[in-house]
Amino acid sequence: MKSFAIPSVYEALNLVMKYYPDNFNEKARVEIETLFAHCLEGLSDDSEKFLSSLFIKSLKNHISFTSINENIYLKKYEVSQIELFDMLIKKFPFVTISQQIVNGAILNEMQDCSEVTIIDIGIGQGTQMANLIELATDLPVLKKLHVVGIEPSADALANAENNLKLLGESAPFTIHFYGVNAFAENFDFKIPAPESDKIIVNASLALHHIQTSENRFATLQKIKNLKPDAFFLIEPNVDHFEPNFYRRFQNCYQHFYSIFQVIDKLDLKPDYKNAFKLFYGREIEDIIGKQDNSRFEKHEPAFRWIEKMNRTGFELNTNYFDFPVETPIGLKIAMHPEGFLGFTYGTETVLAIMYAK
Amino acid sequence: MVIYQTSTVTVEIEEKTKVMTQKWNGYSSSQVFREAIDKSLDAVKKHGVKAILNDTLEQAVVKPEDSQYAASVMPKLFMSGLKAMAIVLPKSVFTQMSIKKFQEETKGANVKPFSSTADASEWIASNL
Repeated sequence: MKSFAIPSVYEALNLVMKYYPDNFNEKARVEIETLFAHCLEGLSDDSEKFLSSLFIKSLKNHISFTSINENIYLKKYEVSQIELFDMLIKKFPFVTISQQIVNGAILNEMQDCSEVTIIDIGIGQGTQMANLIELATDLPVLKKLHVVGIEPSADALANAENNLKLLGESAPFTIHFYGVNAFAENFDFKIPAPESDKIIVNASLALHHIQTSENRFATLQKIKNLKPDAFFLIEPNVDHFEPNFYRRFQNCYQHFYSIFQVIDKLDLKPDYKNAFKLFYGREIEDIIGKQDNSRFEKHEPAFRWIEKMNRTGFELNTNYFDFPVETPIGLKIAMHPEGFLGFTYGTETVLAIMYAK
Repeated sequence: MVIYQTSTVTVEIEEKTKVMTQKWNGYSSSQVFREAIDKSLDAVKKHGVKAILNDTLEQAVVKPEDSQYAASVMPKLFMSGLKAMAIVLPKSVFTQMSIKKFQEETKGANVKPFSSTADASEWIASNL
């Protein structure tokens, strides 16, 4: 039989998502199973198919399928969390370049200071702070650095403390680490060394975990009340706060499709690229597969963060970033009129850095 | 002559030309789908059908196991004297995926996809 072209997988996925929440009848189930089977063929070499299979997997939380067992097909792409995070930090431009840019700006703020306090919201294992400390060893007058690390994962926080203490042994300034095992919205933002020359707050990919708009605003207000000399916010630039399922799906698809295209261009073995994509499957599952009141990954577009920051009295600082304009893989980095530094692939601005005073 | 008819499929034979038309409409249960395939096979044997015009334009998705069942019948159809099958491609993207799968399972058979009934009929006429 002569071959024929079929429309894009997205077109089919788009139709499937319109069935949510009440129209998953027998025909719809067969359509979903057919689409899933279609996606599995050539999955490892086709980002659109890989992404669509993750969306269908997420739908499993809303309806039960008898014939879809995605674990059989997707499990082979899994790699250990440690390997994955290591790759994420070293190879993934959204993370590496954004943190390099912010660290450059923080370092600039720290010039001529002898004592600095940095509050790192969502410090994780302390990687960004460790990189910053290595850069800060060249600062001529810095004598004391206070790092307040806020992190809900106790294990990650303990690792951050160990990592920074280790660095402190060889740094030409003293490092005082204060671990706060809490969610940012529950922290009182009382700091141990208010007499520091500068107080800097950094929140990289953390504040979108605060569940409500009210708590986000309240947390920003607490940060503002500290009167920080600089506040750096890195957030995905996408609306996953959207309560309407279908619109949220569309936002989510465009966002991750762009990320997957970037992953495809990375200098990594194909298995690692797919492991990366599978890693984002967990986020998609949260955004698409969970009920609104139990979702965790509630990203908001940069302009909404800026609105909240403006309401708390922050003013955006747009002239002090030193950044590459374009990366070798075609990721464009530019200041946007709203006042954020955006990372754009194709037409999708995936990530935003905001720098406020 | 109508061989089989339900709300989702009509199978009929043009006796003069020995061309069978299967016209699908909407979603067929497994039972209806397989009955239509079985009746078609019987009729090909009984009436010396030379070609099938399989009109899936309005057909909804087909269960993978039913599509597989249809593919498994293809050798029997061609061994029974069938010379050609034209498929009018469906509007539904899901049914297109089903047919793509069917296509992979029936490689080598004289089966050709068309975007219109007129083109499909013309090709069938040239194969008789």
